[in-house]
Amino acid sequence: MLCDEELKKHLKKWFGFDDFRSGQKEVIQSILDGKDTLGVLPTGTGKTLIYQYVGKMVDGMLIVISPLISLMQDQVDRMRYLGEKKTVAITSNLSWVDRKRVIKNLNNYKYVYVSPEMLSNSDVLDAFKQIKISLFVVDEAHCINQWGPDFRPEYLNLKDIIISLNHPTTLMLTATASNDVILDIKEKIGLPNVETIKYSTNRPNIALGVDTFTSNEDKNDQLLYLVNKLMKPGIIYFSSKKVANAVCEWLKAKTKLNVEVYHADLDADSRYRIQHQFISDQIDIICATSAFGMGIDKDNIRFVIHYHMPANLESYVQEMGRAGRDGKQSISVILYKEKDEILQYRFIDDTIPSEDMINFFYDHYQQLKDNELDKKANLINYYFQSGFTKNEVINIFDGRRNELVTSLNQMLGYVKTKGCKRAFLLRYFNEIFSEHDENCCNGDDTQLQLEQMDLVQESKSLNSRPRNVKWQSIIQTLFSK
Amino acid sequence: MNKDLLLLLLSSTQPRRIKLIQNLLNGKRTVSTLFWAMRYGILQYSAILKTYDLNSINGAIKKLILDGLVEPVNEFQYQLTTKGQIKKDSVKESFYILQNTSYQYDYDVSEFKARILLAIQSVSEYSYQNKNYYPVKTDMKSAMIVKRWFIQNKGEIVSRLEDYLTTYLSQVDEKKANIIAQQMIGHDVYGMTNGQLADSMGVSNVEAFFMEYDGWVDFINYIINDDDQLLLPLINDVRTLKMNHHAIQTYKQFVSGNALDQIANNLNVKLSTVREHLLEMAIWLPEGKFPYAKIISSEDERTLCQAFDNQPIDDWQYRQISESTDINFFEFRIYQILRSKQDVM
Repeated sequence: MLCDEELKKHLKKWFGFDDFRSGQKEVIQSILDGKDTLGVLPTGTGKTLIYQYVGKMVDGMLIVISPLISLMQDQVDRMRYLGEKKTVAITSNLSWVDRKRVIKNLNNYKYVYVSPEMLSNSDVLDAFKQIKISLFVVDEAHCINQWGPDFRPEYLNLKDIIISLNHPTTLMLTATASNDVILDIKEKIGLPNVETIKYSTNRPNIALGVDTFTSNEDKNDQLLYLVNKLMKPGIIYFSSKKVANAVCEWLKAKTKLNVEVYHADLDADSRYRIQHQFISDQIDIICATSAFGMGIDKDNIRFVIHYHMPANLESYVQEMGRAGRDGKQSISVILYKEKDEILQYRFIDDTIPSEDMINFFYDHYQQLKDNELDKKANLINYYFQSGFTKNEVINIFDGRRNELVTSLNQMLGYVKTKGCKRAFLLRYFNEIFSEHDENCCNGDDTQLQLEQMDLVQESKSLNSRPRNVKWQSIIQTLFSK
Repeated sequence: MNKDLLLLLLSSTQPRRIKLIQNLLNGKRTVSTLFWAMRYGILQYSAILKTYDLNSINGAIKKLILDGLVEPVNEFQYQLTTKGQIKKDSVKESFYILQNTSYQYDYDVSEFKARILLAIQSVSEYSYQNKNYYPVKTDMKSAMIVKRWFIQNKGEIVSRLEDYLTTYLSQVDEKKANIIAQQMIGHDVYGMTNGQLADSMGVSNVEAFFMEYDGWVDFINYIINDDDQLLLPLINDVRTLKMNHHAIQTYKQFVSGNALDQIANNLNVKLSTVREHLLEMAIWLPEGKFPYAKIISSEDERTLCQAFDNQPIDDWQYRQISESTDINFFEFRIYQILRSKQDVM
């Protein structure tokens, strides 16, 4: 076992930091002791550092299971950026040729990001069986929780995958897990004795605000007021790409700020540029869907505004947690117009197969099986292939729908509570909070004073992005003499 | 889809199928798509928006109808109204549509752009002695090509690339040079997105896309023809012939005197495939390059000419002659292509 001093010495040498953030050291220590570990650490803790650190101490490969393909590529880029060049992601985005090449040369990689879907493929799994695996990381481990927000059936295969890989030391990481979710994760992954290290979900430097409106005009007025007033840079989250586009155009017209939109419809070239313009403070505000921000490491985001309320408190904590990673005062504001939750109810209907659909699928499987299946049909197919009966599947999805509605109601409860918002939020994650003050939230008859919190920006824009630059000067900037 | 662009691709005298226009822009190359694109006079725009999100063409057409610029002829075909034609004439003056169209080559601009940007970025970061940066996204093949290129030229790569770019940009139009330079990515330089370029020039996104596309095609052609071969390795597979290479093979066999069933036999394909190939070649090639006389005898030509006398080519129906002559559909279509080419002249 390494002593604190040695751990810190390595931290300084490898990462240049003087001290660990809360929870990092305990988790690293636990893994180095060979224990399967579940780390529940607040957003902004630097979870990548944990396994990167371990990677430097051990000589085998690290597999990282990650839920989002787009996020995975960002993480690979980030690891390479941090100097870990032997990093790769095996996803459905890779062309067949590229995937073959990676699998053939799997031995050359230190960090391999892979989706549970890909690891459920026997060729891929067989390739990993030939290799010494020192750590099996499940990132965003709350996805294992069947009733969690990002449910994907392939996560349920992880238990068998870990066994067939000879049970390497396993690390699960998440920022958002209530006690129930923790229990469920342990059960689903088949490691009941996993060492659990849990830190508070609270982000004390992020003030919590909810503003309620009766019309969209009022909501937009408040949005305009906030973006002009608040310290930049910031993110505005939307549940709809269309609305994100529209509000972005509107803000461009109404303000002198550099505002850009970011969502899945953007081509890869634009995504790359916007992400990096934002990181280098050339953009004041990003209008984004939840796809934005998971992989990026930017510590000076001062505000996160939710134009649409998120589907559940887990997502909310993840998204607002992108603010204030530098520890400085930041703010999260939800703009809630009455009945906004209708949009979220519609999303639930769009993702959960109905009883009719399930009946139809089971009754017409022979005709359907050769067709391309949509997302919902794929979900039913997973259960069908796993041998579930029709009624079992109907019950499963009924339960799932209820869970989603319950989660949404929790979110709504947070939005509507007259009491301390932070206490409400933390209670959901089984924590007690009683230190409400004037910088905490705008619940409990408190008005947040932006000026006093140092959240007001005098000048309009951060840096203006260079516009209409002549080619001669661009060439000059590109190459250092 | 951009309404102005759609307006430019429609006509006030010829009903046109919008689904076909969409397929053409997206790069679909069935004989039927190519034939009608030729008839519409828009064949040169084949595949120009292959990598650009077209959104809904139906939404655009609805809007044009609502504005009184377009009217439906039937369920699939649309035509410009008089008002639409006037609008088209004025849009023509201002709208930037792709200039670098070719009947000969396809340019994989997005692949080239990814490579050249990665090359510029890696040299730029190298000149700043920075190893930690987020590389421009490319597929593995392109990343490997650039990596190999970098290693082979590492010696004086910074000054050589800077000189190359400077030489190139100083001999193109200032505005075009700026557009290309504004795309470049390097040390602390992230360039402009398509939307940002469009905003800064006060044009629509698709026009900005065309401007940039033209710039890259010019650059590709320059690299191919330049004596300095520094960037030549990055061009690999970027410029390809528009004609399908199986079709070219068929055409070569045909020109050198093989009969159709002989070709089918030689190339181990169906007779119908041979015919498709020849139709495709006839559509792409100028009139003089295709041996029409080998397919249609002068007697057939007289028969066809009489049968469709004074009838607009678009309206010809094979069934008008299928009973009364022994001319098959293939020969009929070839003649239709021939006449289309002659009419344009």
